[in-house]
Amino acid sequence: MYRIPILRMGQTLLVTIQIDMEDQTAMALQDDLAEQISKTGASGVLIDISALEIVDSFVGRMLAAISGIGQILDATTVVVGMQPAVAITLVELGMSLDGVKTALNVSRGMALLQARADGDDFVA
Amino acid sequence: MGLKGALGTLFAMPSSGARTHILAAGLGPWRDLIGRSANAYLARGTNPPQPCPLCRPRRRHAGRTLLTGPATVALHHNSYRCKHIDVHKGVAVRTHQQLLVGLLEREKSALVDSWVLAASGPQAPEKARTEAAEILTALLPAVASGDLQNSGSATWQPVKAALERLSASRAAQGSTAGSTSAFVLALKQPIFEALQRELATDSHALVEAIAQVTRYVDALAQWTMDAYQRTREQLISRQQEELLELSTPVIKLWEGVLAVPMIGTLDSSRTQLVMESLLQRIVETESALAIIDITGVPTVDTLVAQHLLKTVTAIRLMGADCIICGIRPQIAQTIVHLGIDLQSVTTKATLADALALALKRNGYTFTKTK
Amino acid sequence: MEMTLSHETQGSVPLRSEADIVASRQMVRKLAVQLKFSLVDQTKMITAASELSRNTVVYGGGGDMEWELLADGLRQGLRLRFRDQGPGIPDLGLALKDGWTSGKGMGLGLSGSKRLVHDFELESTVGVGTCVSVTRWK
Repeated sequence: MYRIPILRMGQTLLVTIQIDMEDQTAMALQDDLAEQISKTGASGVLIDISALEIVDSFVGRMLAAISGIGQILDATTVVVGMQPAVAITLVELGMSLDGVKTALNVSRGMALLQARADGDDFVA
Repeated sequence: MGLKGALGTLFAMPSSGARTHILAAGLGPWRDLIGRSANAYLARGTNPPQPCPLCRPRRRHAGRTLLTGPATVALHHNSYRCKHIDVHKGVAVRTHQQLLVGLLEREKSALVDSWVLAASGPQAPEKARTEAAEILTALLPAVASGDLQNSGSATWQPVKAALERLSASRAAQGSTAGSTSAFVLALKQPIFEALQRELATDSHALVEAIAQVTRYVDALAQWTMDAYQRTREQLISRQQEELLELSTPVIKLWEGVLAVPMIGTLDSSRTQLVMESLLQRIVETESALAIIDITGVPTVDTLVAQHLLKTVTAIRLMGADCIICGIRPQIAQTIVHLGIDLQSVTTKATLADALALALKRNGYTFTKTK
Repeated sequence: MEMTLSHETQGSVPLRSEADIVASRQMVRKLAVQLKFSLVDQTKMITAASELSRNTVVYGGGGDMEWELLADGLRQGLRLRFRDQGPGIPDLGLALKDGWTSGKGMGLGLSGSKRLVHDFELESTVGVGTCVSVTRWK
């Protein structure tokens, strides 16, 4: 079964989702991330979804779950690069992903994680 | 000559010489329901009724069935009274069809001229003539198919297309729906006159033909009206779209700060439009902050608030943030009164305040030097 | 799966496994692109299809997605029908309310999808099956 690769950049785990995932692939990613956060003691997780053209409720729930799991394991999760059409559709679907932090792109996301790690909480 | 042939001969012939053809069909001398003979009719100067060959009495002779004797159920002109009424009607209609088509083909050019004259007077522009000729040319095969009921069929498409072009050009010129329709209706007169010349002696056929032409031209006028309406509606909806787009421009106020002044009622279609264009601009300019100015929104109720919140949520999902400004005191009261939860959306009274906050968030400080 | 879509106006895609959910998304994308839907319209339709396909596979015990290209005068549309012979939905009103869940999160599938399309029809009989029909016009 295909597993989405997780890259490590210092204290941050980086995931780029570029394929149209099957449900089990998404679940595997969730499991793998939980394991990796725990194993590496990472303080940040950056999930790049700029290539995802479809985010349905299943993937949305996965992102929320990863964010929650990360929080429990003392890691901040940022989801970056959501496409406008995806955002509009998710909102219409009824998903606000309230607890999930977002950023416009990878560099902003990394800046956010850095600020978090440094203790500056000016970005809400 | 078989029965079908006999039928065809009977009804396709012009009125003169009816007697010879009845005899030629092999029916022999006959009498109608009230006992009059064919000759009696001719003597009175009217066309004798056409007996139905299918109603001819039969006689069995030596084990075979013979068709013999006069028709005992007679019919009078077009008021068929025998049980083969549908057969007769079919043939009659087809005949009138052929007559009409023949007439239209022969006199096309003259018809176009008299049509344009009747419709637009002697000073009619060349364009009117071209349009009229186009419609008449397209009409011919459609009439020949005889299929007015099935107006959705392919034979009527060229006519409809020609009529749509006519009404589009008239609409663009500023003509009213009425005058465009009147143009089409003016076709009746020339055709009636031509029919009168053609069918001078056969008043019944003339009446049938006039009725048929009326049906056709009325249908044409109807389609012209429909096409005209559609053109106007398309124009109006295009203008509405442009208006909608013009009324919600996305402005770059500063590096990383976009602003959208909302003017007019905030409904779902406008919200969609704002979301699409605003989110797109956010991606393009990599702006992390969007200011939505609702000074121009007359009322804010639960529905409007819902639309606003959708927009804010979408902006946040993408990784940017939003400030709503331009909230008038009455609006603020309504929001509280309705118990609308703005969900931690930052709000400011004026655009200036919102801009100041946006800049501060981005790390700018202001100093006044004088 | 045959991809000759140039003249076809209807077809069917099986929904038995998770892989079929992905396949149904790809099929709907092809159709939406063929109909020249705007990007947002495409996204909404494909997302709705994803939700409903998943319902069919996970809660309906497997079924089919029938698709049909519609033409109503000048406007064009795409209709999708999701059928299964599963347990059915006992309380339709409840199912269409936001956040209702029958297990591990059918939550927003039905009510959310309803908002993503123009026409939405839901038929379900307990013990017999479910049929959801959605249409989006250009």
